[in-house]
Amino acid sequence: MTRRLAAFALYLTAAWAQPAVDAPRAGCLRGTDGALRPVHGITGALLAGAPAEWSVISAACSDSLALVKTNDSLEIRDSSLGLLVRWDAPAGAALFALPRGSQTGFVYYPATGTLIQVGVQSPPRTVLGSQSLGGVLLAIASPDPLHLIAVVSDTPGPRLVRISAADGTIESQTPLEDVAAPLALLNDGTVVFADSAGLLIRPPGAAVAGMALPRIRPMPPRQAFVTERRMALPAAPVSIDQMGGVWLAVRLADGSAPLALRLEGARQRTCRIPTMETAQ
Amino acid sequence: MIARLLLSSLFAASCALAQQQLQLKALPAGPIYEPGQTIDFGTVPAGTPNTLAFQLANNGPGRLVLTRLWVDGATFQLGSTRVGVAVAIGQSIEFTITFTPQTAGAARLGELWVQTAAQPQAEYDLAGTGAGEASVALFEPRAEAAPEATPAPTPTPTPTPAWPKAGILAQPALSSGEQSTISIQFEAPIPVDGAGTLTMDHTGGGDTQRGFILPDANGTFVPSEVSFTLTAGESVARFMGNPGIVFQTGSTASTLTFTATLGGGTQLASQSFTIAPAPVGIDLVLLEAASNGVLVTVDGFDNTRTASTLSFTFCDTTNHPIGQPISVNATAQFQSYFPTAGTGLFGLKQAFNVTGDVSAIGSVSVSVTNSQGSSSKVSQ
Repeated sequence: MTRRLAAFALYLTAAWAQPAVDAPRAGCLRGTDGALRPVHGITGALLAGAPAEWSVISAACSDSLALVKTNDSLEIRDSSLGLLVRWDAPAGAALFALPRGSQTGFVYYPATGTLIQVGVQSPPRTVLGSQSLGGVLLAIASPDPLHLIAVVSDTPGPRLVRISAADGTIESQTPLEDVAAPLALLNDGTVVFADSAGLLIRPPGAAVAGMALPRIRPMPPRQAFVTERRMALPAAPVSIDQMGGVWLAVRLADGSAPLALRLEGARQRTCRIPTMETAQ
Repeated sequence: MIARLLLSSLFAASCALAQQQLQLKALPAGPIYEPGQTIDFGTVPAGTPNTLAFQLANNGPGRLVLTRLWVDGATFQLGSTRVGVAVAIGQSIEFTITFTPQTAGAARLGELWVQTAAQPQAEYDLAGTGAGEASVALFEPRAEAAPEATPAPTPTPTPTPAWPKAGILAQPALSSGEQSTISIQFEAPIPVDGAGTLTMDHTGGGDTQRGFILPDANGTFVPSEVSFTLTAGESVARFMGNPGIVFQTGSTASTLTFTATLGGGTQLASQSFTIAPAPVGIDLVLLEAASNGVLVTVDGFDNTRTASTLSFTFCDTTNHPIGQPISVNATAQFQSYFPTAGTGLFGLKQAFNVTGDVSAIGSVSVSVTNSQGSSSKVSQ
């Protein structure tokens, strides 16, 4: 009742007299050749364009930012992949988390075990030092600019860790069953991970596939019940990267064109990502 | 014995392009072959393999992706190759071809085909002679080349393979915003090895995001032409080893015509598909908090490029509408955008000021109208 009253009090007006219309942006994609390309389009009509950067080791994009790791630097680029700022960085790959709509992001360097926050306006800031999490980080995500979540693998098994970005405090830890790399962690806590038959998509709080459902009473109507679901693929996944705000890019062991994956409620949308051939 | 070059004007143009980037050289020390030239394997005892090694070098000006390397002719066999990989400027790929004449006689003819992602194919003729007791020359698979080893009292017409009837299929059916698999299927097994091209032409709207997706690691996009191979005994053409190739339809209404043609110019099949004008396809609706309100993002396609008005219906977290739908006329914005877009794809953003608690907004349903009607989608 309170909620209904609050909604009734809402009043919406178009803030802009007219909408802005442009080519739909899906994000960016790192090719097997190390080139980073912008990706435009929608499901079934994607196209990766001319490279914006070469010799890229790791990259992730949101709707507003791109974080790009080369061998010895970290770059922050805008959504069109224009360079905004470049920082020195440890050698090797990196993991990224990009809160939606934010001008900051988070970077984890496996080479040093450090987790930092980066932004266009300020120098990198260490959130967690070396080995603070006591295991190997497999993926990180950020539900908001003040928090991080991470999948950490160590001897007892993988766990989902929630971290305060302000001071690095570990706020909670939740065991995860059976997850292993390659995997992606979405900002809402959904874990997408691979097995030999394809992908498993486990929303936060989901029942694990194969687990017997409690037979206490029938599920009430209209009540959402999230469960892990499986998605078959033509070959085993070898990597899962954040391509954009709502898109993942999945590379397969058969060496075929990468797959774009978007989760939409209980469904998923997929298509191949073609790449415009351009001279280097 | 001089083998006739079988280059059509199309291949001549292709070769001119190919010369800019690819150089074919016999190893270890040459010679260098230009497209259209004959590679002579010499005289080899019948039944004895003679293997030559070659190098394909990329001399620039750009990076190349070798999409197809194919030899036809029953007496020639290609060694394993790395098709589908990118070749940087200055780098090269090596491969071998083995000539094994099964009988004695001159001018066992074959062909070497080279294609990169950005260019049509280049062709080189292959020739060799089987030593030993003479027999009738063998020419496969083309009929035009007919050098004769010895004068014959009654010339025998060159055998032309009888190709079974072929059809071009699309699965799923072609429509805007789809990736379908195109295949070339024959009603009976293919009589001899061969190779050719599948081309796509369109009438009606062009589309910069319409084309084939090669099954390589980068999913190389090829707008209008891909190569295929045919293997004797099979009933389907193969694209880099696959029985079909993914085709991205784009987002513009048009009629697409696919034509499968053998390397020599013989048309195997042709099929047209009509992508009819349709209501707007909405792929994604996002509702996000923004300063002073919310931002709605709508990604989709309009294959008529006639989109005009939008309607936004906001609902609370229990799916009850909040007020009346808000109508926005975006005709001018769409008409300004589409002529330069090259596709029917669009990404639209509309901000709304909100007076009250933004967190009470649960979803928004967006309706878009074009010349074919209206369609709607609820935010995810």
